[in-house]
Amino acid sequence: MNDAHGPLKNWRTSQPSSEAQDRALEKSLQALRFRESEKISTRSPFASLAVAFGIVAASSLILSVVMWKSLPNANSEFVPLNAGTLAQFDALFGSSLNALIERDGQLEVETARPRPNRGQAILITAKTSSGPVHVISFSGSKFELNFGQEHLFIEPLIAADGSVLLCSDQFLWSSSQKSGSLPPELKTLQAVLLPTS
Amino acid sequence: MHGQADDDSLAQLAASGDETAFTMLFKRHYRMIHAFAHRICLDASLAEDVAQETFVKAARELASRGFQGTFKPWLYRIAKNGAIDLIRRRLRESRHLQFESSERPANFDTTDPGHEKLTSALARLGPELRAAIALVYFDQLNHAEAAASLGCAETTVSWRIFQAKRKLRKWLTSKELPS
Repeated sequence: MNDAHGPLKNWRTSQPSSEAQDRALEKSLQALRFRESEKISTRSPFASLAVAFGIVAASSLILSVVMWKSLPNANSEFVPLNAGTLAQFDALFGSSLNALIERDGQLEVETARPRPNRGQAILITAKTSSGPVHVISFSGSKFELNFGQEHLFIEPLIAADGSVLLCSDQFLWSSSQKSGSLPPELKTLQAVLLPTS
Repeated sequence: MHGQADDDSLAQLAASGDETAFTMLFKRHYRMIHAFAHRICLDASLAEDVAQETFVKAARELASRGFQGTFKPWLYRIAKNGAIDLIRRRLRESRHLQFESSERPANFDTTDPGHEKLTSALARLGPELRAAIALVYFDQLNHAEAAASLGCAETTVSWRIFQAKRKLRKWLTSKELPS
C-alpha cells in the first residue's frame, strides 16, 4: 500500500487486561449455561404450547405492522442514489457493475462477471430494522443485502405491466401490489425503474 | 483431547454444552478478537466491551442454534457487527465519537508522530473500511477469507480495500489531515 502499508503494520493494539478476559469468559459461560437450561424447560408440553402461542402472536403483530407500513401512503424518503450516480459508476465499472448499495452514508459497489446485455436499472429503497438502504441494481441481476448474520439475495425483475418484482428465496414482492410477506429484516420496500441516458 | 481439536470440532462440542471446549475456543481467539475490535473502534475499552459481547453472543448462538460452518470467520463476523453496532450507538448518543488521546497502545512508541497521524486517518475511514483493513493488512486474510468474515461479497472487500488505501495514501502524504 506504498505510503500507508508500513505505518499500518506498526499500528499496534493494546493488550486486554486479565480482569476483562476473566469477566468475558465468565459471562460467556453463563450465556452457554442459560440457553441450555432454557432449552430444557421448553421441552415440557405446557412450555411448548406457550412458546407456540407466543410465536403466533408475535408473527401476527409483525405482519400487521409490516402490512400497515407497506401501504402506498407510507412516507417516501430522500434518495441519495440516482441516475447520475449510476452513470459515474458505469464509467468506472461498465457492464461489470452489479449493484450500488447505500447504507448509513456508506456506498458499497458490487461487481460481477461482465454482461453485455445488462438489464434495466432499478432503484430499490428498503426500510430495514437498522435503517434505510438504497440500492441500484439491474433486472435479472442478483444482489446481496447483509443483516448481521443474515443475508438476503434479491433479484429484481420487470413484469409485463412494467411493475418491479423482487424475488428472493425468502419472499416475493411486487411494486404494483406493494404487499407480500417480507422477512423480519425488511420493513417496507419501494422499487422504481431508473431512467438511464 | 480438546487441546488438539480444531476450532470447528470444538465449536460443535461447545454447542452441545461442553464448557471446556468453549473455554478452549475463548483462549485461542480472545486476543485476536480484542485486537480486531480495537482496530475498528480505535479505543481499548470499547474493544474490551466488543470482545466480551462477541463471546457472549457466540455462546448464545452455539447453545440455541448449534454450529455449522467455519468458526473463525463466523466469530469475526459477530465481532465486526458488534463493533459497528457499538460505534453507531455511541454516535447516536454523542453525535460524535471521541477517541481518547490517552488510549495509546501500550507497546507502541508514543513519540512517533506517524502513529498519531495514522490513528486519525484510520478514525476517518469509517468502521466498515477499518474492518476490511484490519482483516487484510493486520490479520493477513485474503479477500475471500475477509469476505467470509465480514459477511459480504469478495468484490465488496476489494472495493473497500481500494477505497481505504486511496484515502489513507492521500491523508498520510498530505501535511495535515482534513478536520
